[in-house]
Amino acid sequence: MGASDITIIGLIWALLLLVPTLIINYYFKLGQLKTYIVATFRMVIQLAFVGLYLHYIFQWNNPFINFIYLVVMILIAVFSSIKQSKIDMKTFLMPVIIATFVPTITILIYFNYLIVGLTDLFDAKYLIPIGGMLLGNSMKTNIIGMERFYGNLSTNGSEYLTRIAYGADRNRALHPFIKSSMLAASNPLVASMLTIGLVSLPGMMTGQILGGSLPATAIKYQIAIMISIFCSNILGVAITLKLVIPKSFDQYDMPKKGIMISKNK
Amino acid sequence: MEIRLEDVGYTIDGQEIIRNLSFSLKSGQKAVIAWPSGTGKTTLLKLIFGFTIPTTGKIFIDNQLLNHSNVKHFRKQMSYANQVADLPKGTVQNSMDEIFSFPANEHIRDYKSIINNLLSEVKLTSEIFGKNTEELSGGERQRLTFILCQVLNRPIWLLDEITSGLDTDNKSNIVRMVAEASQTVLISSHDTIWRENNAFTFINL
Repeated sequence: MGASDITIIGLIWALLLLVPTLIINYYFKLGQLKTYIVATFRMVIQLAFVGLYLHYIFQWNNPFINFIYLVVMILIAVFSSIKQSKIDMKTFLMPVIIATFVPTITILIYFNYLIVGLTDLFDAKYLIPIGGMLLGNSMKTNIIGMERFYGNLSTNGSEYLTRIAYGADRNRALHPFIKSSMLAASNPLVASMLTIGLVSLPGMMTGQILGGSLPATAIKYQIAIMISIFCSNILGVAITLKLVIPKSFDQYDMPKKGIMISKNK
Repeated sequence: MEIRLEDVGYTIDGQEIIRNLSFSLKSGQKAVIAWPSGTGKTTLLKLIFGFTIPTTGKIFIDNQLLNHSNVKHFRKQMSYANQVADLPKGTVQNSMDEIFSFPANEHIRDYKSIINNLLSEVKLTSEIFGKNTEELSGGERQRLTFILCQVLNRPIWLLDEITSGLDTDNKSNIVRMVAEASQTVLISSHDTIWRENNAFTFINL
């Protein structure tokens, strides 16, 4: 018992929902006609491709191919997020790759083996959607954490120097910066755990219920995925900070220049 | 503890801030740098503290060449009171608790009572403990940072414009206390008041 398929006609109906947005765009002179159309068009094309290759990946369900697919997803996520953020690619590429791979893969295997109890740990049906959810979240928080860390260091750097001057070692002097970075990264998920279920149904649950799962099953998955995302986010930021901090200071414990790319660039 | 500079130069972005500077301070000696604004007074103190690395020349502290392997050790032998006199955020109380929890300072257990005793000498009261460090006036910060130098009792003091915001009474108080200290002291200041006390020598450009 799955969700009813959507016919091509049905999909056209869905796309027609773009019309009101274009009318509003015209009415309020938002100047977003091209943006809205391009975004919708790109979404359709990108998802069509995903649908196409997921069709084969699910059909083959080969553990090796599934794993490679996950690795490619991680790499694309890393590159695109570093490109979007204001940090220096050269310094951060390896740390971010490691800090994304290690928690994602570890938690994914933990999830599939211990929580769901799968025998095939690399089953596409679990590996790809769960991996995708962990990845998307972990990348976002990693970037938030690092931007907060380096942004703070460049605006409140004197606070770091003050602590060093009074005799703190580097880690001690960085404590307020590390703390605020970890909090910035964990706060969004903490907030969503606090309110989940009160306001809206999370996307994963919606999907599972439409797919024919019992609400009880969907809820158990939701609990498991939330805590897994939380754990992989925190691990990711912690590993990133551990890896990037030593690269960000010289032998005199002074912050190196050029780590943050300026906002105007 | 001795400080010695040999042909120290510092250039940044093609601009020569300090050029071929040499001098030495014997243990316990006190010197004032009274160069005009923008001629590298603050930079010089930063160079000695190891916050900035000289482009040319050598800095010796206690007869050892200051470098990356000993800079962390020597920083703990120096108190650097800078122009903005930054203190960790929070109340003065929290700020002091934090400073004296650093491994380099935790041997000073009775810091609260020492600070309390010194407050009156610089015309401050213990009310200051409840204030937020960001709300302190420039003069309050300067005096508090100076007290910290005394409590930390490190062998070298680097004092950057420590008297600039103070009234005459407070100025002469601090000058007297610096003159009486056993420390090796390097002061950057425009104040002529330092010239009135013969404990200080002057380093010329």
